Amino acid sequence: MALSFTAVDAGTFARPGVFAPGRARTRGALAGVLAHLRRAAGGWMLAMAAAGAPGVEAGAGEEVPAAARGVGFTEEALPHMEAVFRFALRLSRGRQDEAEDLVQDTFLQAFRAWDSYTPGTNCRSWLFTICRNRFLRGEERRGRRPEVPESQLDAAAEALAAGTYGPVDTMDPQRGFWDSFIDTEVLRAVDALPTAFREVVVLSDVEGLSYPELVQVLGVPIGTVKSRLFRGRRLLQRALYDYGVEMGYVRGEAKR
Amino acid sequence: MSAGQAVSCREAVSRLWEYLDGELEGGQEPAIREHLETCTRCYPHTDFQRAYQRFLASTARMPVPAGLRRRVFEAILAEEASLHAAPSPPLAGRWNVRALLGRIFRRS
Repeated sequence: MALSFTAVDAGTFARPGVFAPGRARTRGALAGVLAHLRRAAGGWMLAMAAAGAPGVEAGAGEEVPAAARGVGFTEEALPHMEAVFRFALRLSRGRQDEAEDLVQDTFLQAFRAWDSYTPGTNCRSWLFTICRNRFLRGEERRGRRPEVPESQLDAAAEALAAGTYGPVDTMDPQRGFWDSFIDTEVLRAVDALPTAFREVVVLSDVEGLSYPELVQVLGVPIGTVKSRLFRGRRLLQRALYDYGVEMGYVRGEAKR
Repeated sequence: MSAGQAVSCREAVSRLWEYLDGELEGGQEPAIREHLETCTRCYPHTDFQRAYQRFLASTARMPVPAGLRRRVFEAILAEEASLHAAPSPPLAGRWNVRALLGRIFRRS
């Protein structure tokens, strides 16, 4: 046991300074677990756990029986598997194998962190948060860099917030435009969006999350949520428009 | 801008997405809606973007592959079973350490 704690303390779970020095080595391991869970859940609702040991210490003697945990998890989390799968599939840019691994990983992490979830709160957003964090971590591990550097992500937000029409509907907005495309073409265009725009467009326009929910899942201020969402929609619409012109679905000039 | 006061096209269009997303504050909503739904210049854009939203919401509807559902259940059952198992795992990798810690954490 001591060996394992040492290994953990020295490894990725170590969180020096979280606990007062001189406390038992076990605390270090518990801190490690907390850090692990906090990462897994992206800090969501883990403020209490982040306060650290109290929850854990109080946890002695009031452990949730595994069966009860299973019931709560089954009733609250598992019904969202379809939504999480859809989100995972778009995050993974349509790669089904990756998406399935991501969904399994998400639910396993959620199960492990279930004690930190407050029953009856927004389980779907909580799962999206975990799913997104696991995805970003995987991207990092695979050495894939974000398509748009963080520093440039919101640079043009001001300009976009200005009251102008989007690039597509400046021409001749016809609602029938959207009927030109079949689903696979649309999904391909969604998958081609940079992650920072893809995730917000999918969460909003496919999964129907509200701005406050997007703030929670993406962990950015509401102004950033809006600018990324509006910009993402424009990018997607522009891509579809160009594709539509190229394919002869719509009349117009492809690249202006 | 007080409710009922005329809204310029520019102002209305700058709030188009918030309006369609249902995120305008109560006080602002009526004037913006009135403009976007009746202005001959702005309405086509409103209609177009509303169609976009309906259109995108209707794509990507696909069921969870049957095999995946089973995989997730099995992974969770295995995890749950490991909560009851004797804590004697090998310390070969990170995941084993995590599993061990998970067990200790839940027993504490």
